[in-house]
Amino acid sequence: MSVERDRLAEDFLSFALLAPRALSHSHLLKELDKRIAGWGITHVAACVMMDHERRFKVGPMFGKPNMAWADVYFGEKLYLDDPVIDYAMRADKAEYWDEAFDSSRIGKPARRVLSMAGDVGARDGFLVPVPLYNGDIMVVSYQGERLERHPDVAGVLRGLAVYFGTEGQRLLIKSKLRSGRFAGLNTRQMQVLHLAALGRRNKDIASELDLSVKTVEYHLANIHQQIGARNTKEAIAIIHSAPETLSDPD
Amino acid sequence: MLVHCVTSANRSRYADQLEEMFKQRHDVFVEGRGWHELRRADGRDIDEYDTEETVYLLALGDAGEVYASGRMNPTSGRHQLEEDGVLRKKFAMRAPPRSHRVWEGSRLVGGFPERYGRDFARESLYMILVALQEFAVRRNIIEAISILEMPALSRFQSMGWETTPLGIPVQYETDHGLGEALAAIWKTGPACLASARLKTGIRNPVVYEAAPAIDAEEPQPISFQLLASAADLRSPEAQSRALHAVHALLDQESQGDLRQAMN
Repeated sequence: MSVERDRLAEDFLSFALLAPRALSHSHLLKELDKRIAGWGITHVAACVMMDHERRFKVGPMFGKPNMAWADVYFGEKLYLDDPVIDYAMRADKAEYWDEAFDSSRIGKPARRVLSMAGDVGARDGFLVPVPLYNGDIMVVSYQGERLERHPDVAGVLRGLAVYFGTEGQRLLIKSKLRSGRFAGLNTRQMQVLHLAALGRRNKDIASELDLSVKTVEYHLANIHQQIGARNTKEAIAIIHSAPETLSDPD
Repeated sequence: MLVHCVTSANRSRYADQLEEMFKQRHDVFVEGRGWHELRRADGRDIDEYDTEETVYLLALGDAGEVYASGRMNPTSGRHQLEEDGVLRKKFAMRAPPRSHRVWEGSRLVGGFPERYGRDFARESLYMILVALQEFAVRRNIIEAISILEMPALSRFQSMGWETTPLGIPVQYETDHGLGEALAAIWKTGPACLASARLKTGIRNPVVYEAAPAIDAEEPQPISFQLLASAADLRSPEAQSRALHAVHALLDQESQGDLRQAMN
């Protein structure tokens, strides 16, 4: 495959500009799919979070996982101690599966995991660790039959993973707001609470939504009452404790 | 711990700390990351972008020890992504903005978890990140540019600071294998500062700018302990009042009136 560097740059830049403004998971994913079409990727998902001490924890999961592999992965509780991801973490860099294979740097347990993935159609993959501001690490996983190996493509895949991972997490909060006890909130209340959950101050929310600070405070007071929270901090905690969904509600 | 804003005006008051910072930069970038082009015989990392215009942000402890640091240069002057520069050609496929209101951030050093433990290392790094935004707000800087290593890109992005690439990620050779970075513009301003404060939990102001040294030959030392005590106060109002008082005291100190002021 010939790779035009300018075209790659254009695709990457346009995704970086679009991602913070994406309206939903499906929107973000659709735009990502457009840009990675032709590189042999069939599935892309951010599926595992690790804390700053490199211990596995189940975190936000979004994207388009290979469901057969996800069934095996979670059925076998591989996320508790996945030797492949553990290897990628220790190496602290993105890895194509076969590179790790070829160099014989991974052991039998990791080969077993990769073999299980291959059995359900994930024969090739590229794992990109995405470190977050607090030391947590999200892993974005590209999967397919045979992925493009051009170095510029690999660089762009790593860059796309950053925007897909960080903005996908933001959209996950948004999707959680659409379920459970948040269902009764109106559109404006949703917007206010979403921005509050992203860490904006009342003043910034007011400026972003073209409202007065008093109106923002009014909306927040109503939100607290409707969802049974004492304050905004508690409302945000409720969002984070809401159940995570594999699929995008959009 | 406070983040000191070291400018050309007050630089002579921080000679020891700047020396320590240059050595730390060497340890981190030359020895740690293998950026061999920066190697100098004196074991310090100083290059052509450490200029008179450069502002250093130094996270300093009670005894003046350096916990973290960052380098800021206005893009209207010399900076790494300047036109015709080697790094510009390598990393930027689009021209970066050039303005006195757009600054370049570089040489972000912080943490040292091996030396100070993971929690303290993270706190000092958080201090510098908040300080970057606080500095930008104070100086009316609208955005910043940097050559960001990939982990820094995702950390900035997850901090809520929107980053816009100026090119695709580029690999480069180091003594320890391949590294990867990209040139990007990142947002600064009150919203980014608010996001940084919320995510790091640092609610008080962290940047302290000492008065200019009156006598560059015999600069007055900074009273780090006094400043740190003021910065440790819990409420922002109390901290602001205390820092203001300390600042005034230090101004008088630099004019030789400390004894009179203390009495």
